[in-house]
Amino acid sequence: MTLLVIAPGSDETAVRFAGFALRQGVPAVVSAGFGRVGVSVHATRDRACSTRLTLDGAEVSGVLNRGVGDWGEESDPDRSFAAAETYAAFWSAVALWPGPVVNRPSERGFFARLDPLEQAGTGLVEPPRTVVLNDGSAPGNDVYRIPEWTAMAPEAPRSRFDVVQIADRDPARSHRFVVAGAGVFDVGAAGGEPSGKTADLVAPIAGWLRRRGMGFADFTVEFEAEVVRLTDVSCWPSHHLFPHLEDRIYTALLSELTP
Amino acid sequence: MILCLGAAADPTFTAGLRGLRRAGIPFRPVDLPSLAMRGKIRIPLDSPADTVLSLDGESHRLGDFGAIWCRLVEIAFAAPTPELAAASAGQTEALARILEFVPLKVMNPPLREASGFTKLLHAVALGEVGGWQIPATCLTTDPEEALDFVRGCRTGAIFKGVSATKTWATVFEPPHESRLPRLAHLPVLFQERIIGPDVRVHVVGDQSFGELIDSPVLDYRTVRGVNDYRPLEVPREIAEGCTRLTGHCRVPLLGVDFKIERATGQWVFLEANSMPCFEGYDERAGGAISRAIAEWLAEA
Repeated sequence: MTLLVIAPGSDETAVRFAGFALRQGVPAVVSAGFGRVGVSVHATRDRACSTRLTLDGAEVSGVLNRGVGDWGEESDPDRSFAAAETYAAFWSAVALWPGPVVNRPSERGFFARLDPLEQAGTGLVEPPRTVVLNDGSAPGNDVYRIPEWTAMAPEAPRSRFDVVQIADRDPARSHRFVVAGAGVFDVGAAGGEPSGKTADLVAPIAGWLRRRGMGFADFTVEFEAEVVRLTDVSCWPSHHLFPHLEDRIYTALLSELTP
Repeated sequence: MILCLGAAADPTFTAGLRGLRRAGIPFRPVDLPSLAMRGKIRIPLDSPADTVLSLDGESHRLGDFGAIWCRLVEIAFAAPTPELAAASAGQTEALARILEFVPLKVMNPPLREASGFTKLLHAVALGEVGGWQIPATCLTTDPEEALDFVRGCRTGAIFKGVSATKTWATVFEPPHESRLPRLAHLPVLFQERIIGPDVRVHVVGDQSFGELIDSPVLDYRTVRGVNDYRPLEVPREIAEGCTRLTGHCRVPLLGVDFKIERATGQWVFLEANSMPCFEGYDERAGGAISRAIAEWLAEA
């Protein structure tokens, strides 16, 4: 039994999870490329697929998908092509592989697009108070330049060519949660357990993430009386977010991958 | 009134505009490079209809339009300065996001059909929806497996990249065998070669417009002046599958590619493009595709 963690070696959370798995007696290897990792997908005319994922020639038993890194930034055309092909090959192979996968790629994306606006459309949560603009201002102190998503100081001078997203967030009302396998963890709570009422309020969000195949994700909400405002969702929870819950979260992931 | 978002230099975008003009449907075009250079955008995520695009003294609120025709082609790479490239890329990303959520008819929401980036999953998943056969396919890092697959293809095999990055399908020939060890570090998509004409079906809502293309070369798009193009009435079961596909992908416009196997008459699905360059097909079809696009947009 060997787990494959699809992630670049610079992904500390992936490396720490692999180390945890190994300490539990489950070998896990972090890789974002081929060589040691092999794929084989055969599709018949009737679309019947048989898929193998291997590590050093042996079958992989489970996959945690953290992505292959920021391949879109590669400037050399050959490297860029190889990176795009690697990304697409992992995407098809892991999507069609029948074994257990946390954050399985699908038709909806290598990672499913997780936009708070979609969940807001169900009426179960409110959308973020966020404006995207390239001129003028908007309320809020949380400023990112798009498309590179670099944080900017709110008072920093901006050129008219800067497209920015300005979010009006209330840190006092913000709560951050991690979905890991079957668990939902309140990273602000000492034991990580959401209180009964909180658990009920965020259950629809966790359910939505799981329906999208996202078994390892984090999200931020603001509670305003009975209103839940979903401000952010991510498929790349970092271990910095949950230092006191690391073992519990990795245990939950391992349970998904070693049923 | 239809809001049209695209680039004036994109012939497909302008073909859509001409279709609207011929149909007498009022529209307001916004040239996206101009918007990036000297326009303003303001997108309140909690109220997508209140998104405002301002250019040359005019402001356009998305919610004031009946529908949106958009082609957010990638133009940042051609920008003359890094600042303009960033402005264009940021604008495109922001518009693509909000066009998913505006309470209007949009042809096509740019982010809906994601699987086109990975050809094998795309063919398997969309072929399932259409109920169509696909070419027997092998994606592998194993040189021996690739060779076995190729040798098992009675009519020969082709190979190409698995991603959306442009690669031309190439017939696999004996000299290629020496390169197979490279697969260990980067897999390649191998497919059985389907011998027969190509078919492009443009689907607009529930209408299908077919064209049969007979070409002396493997990929008809690589040559000019030698292909034989003929209008083709799309068989009912294929057209029904195409309509299911637009519903499944939640986009009203698709360019769907098939091969018809000459020996058996079997239709084999290749791929569906949610941003098809339809203008050449439209011209040969007497404007039928752009007319259907205009009608779909006007049915607000």
